Amino acid sequence: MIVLGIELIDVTSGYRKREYILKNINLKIDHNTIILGPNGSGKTTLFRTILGLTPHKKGEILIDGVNIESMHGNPGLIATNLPEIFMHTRLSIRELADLYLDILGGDFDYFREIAYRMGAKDILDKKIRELSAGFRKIIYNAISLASKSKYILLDEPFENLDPARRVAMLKEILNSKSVNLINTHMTWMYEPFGKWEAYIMVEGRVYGPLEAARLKELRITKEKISDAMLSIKLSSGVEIYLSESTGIPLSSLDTLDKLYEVLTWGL
Amino acid sequence: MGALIKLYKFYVKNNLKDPYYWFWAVFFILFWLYIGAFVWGANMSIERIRSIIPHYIADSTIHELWIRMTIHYTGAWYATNVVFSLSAITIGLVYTVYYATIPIRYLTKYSKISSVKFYSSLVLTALSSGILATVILIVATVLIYSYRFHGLKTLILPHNSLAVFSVTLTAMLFNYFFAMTLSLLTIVIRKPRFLSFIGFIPFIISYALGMYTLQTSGGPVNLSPYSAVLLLNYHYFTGGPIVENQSVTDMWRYDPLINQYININSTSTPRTMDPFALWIVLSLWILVTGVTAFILFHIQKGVGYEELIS
Repeated sequence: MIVLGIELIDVTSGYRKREYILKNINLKIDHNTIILGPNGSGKTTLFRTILGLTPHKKGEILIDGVNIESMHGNPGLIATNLPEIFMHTRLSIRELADLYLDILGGDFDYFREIAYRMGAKDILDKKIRELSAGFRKIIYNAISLASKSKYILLDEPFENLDPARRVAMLKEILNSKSVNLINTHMTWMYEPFGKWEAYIMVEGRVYGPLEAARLKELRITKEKISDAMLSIKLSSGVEIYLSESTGIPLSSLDTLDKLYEVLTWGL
Repeated sequence: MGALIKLYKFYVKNNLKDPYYWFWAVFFILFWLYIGAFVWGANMSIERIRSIIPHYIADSTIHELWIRMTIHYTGAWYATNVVFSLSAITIGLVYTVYYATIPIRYLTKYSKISSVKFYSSLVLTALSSGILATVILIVATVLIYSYRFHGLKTLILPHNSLAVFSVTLTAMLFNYFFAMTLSLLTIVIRKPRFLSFIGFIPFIISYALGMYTLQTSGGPVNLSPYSAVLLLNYHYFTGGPIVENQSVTDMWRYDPLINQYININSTSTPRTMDPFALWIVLSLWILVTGVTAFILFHIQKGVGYEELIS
């Protein structure tokens, strides 16, 4: 399998409240990658833009060298767990998954295996709207993983899952042979992602890459330091620095949503 | 082809489980048929015919005239009901597409389903739903009106059932394309909130033009698809002529048998319209709306669910 990767060249996208959410993004994803950022930082918009679901204002997005605007009929290229790509239906999850995995060129048996391992065996004959947020997430994750697409984009794949299922889902993702791109605001799982590339996303801009395993050693501070690995400039004018030496450990925050609280009162 | 069939089956099953479809396809149809048979037709009886024709006419002829008149009355209500009901049914079907613009965009890019296949499966679904609605409409019309006027001893059957079926199904196709064009337009111009108004335009126009053709016919209104559907269905249901510049409610007077005894229009030969001309009008409307809907379907970039419901 030749992986040229997903490439964003100077992309501006996602107009909201007279402002673009993503600003001049340059990014290349050609192996497993995790994007960390607080809620509202533009992670989901980034995924929608990569898929061509949110039209971009400026720049170019290429998947395996092909511009997404001219892309048609590519089963097995890219899958996602974003709920909006799934049709609202009165049919069962089994029927929805069967349709999607057939037309995406995926593996329905593998989907069923994931669902069973995730304790979702008994819900396959229910309708998607009858499920809790956690089970919906499991089903959307399972369909995208079972698509066995070349690239899989998982938006907050652990959100609303109980701790046991978070770990089980993590195992499923780590077993995937696809190039996975995950975004999350959670900070509990730096360790298992080891050699994955990591980016930090704040206020519509992407910073990185770093090696995911190193995130647990990173600290965050407002003080200007010489050995900073990353510096992030916020719209308020405040600049923050990530280093291995100074500040609060990133891993001590439960979620990156606490970033702003810590910056305001904690540092 | 397999992907198209799979998607088609998915949508048909989904539609069959949709309570709104059944509301429009059964309850709404039955409501109007009931109004026509038992409210508007409350004063119709064989006795009224006896009172307006010469006394020497035999009972068997009066009975025959009564049957002809009830066929015309039933045909007019059937034709009107098709115009009203199908526009309502298609609005429901099109909402399915409206809420699926993001899945459509995603799947046409990254699955085996091309725009053409997706569009075809939606049209096939609409036709399948139309076949079911047409069968319900024809059967319910025959049973309700035969019961009302003849106590089910004589069935009021369409003069040309196949043609009635074809016109009704063609009407379904036009309604679907028209409703789809309007709803996709709101997506393409990124004004999804307009749908709550625009979505009901086919419904409003079908009532306006349907009632117009029913009560006062002739002129440019015959170029409207709703008039074409109404006139064709009336013609094939009753076997009577399509008389130019006559409202559908008055066309029964030009039935040769009725005219012979009731003698209302003996002085002049009516100018009749060729059904073929109405078929051409209807086909052109289908072509224009079908192509427009497909172009919009292909170029639309989707509107997020949050934006749709906001």
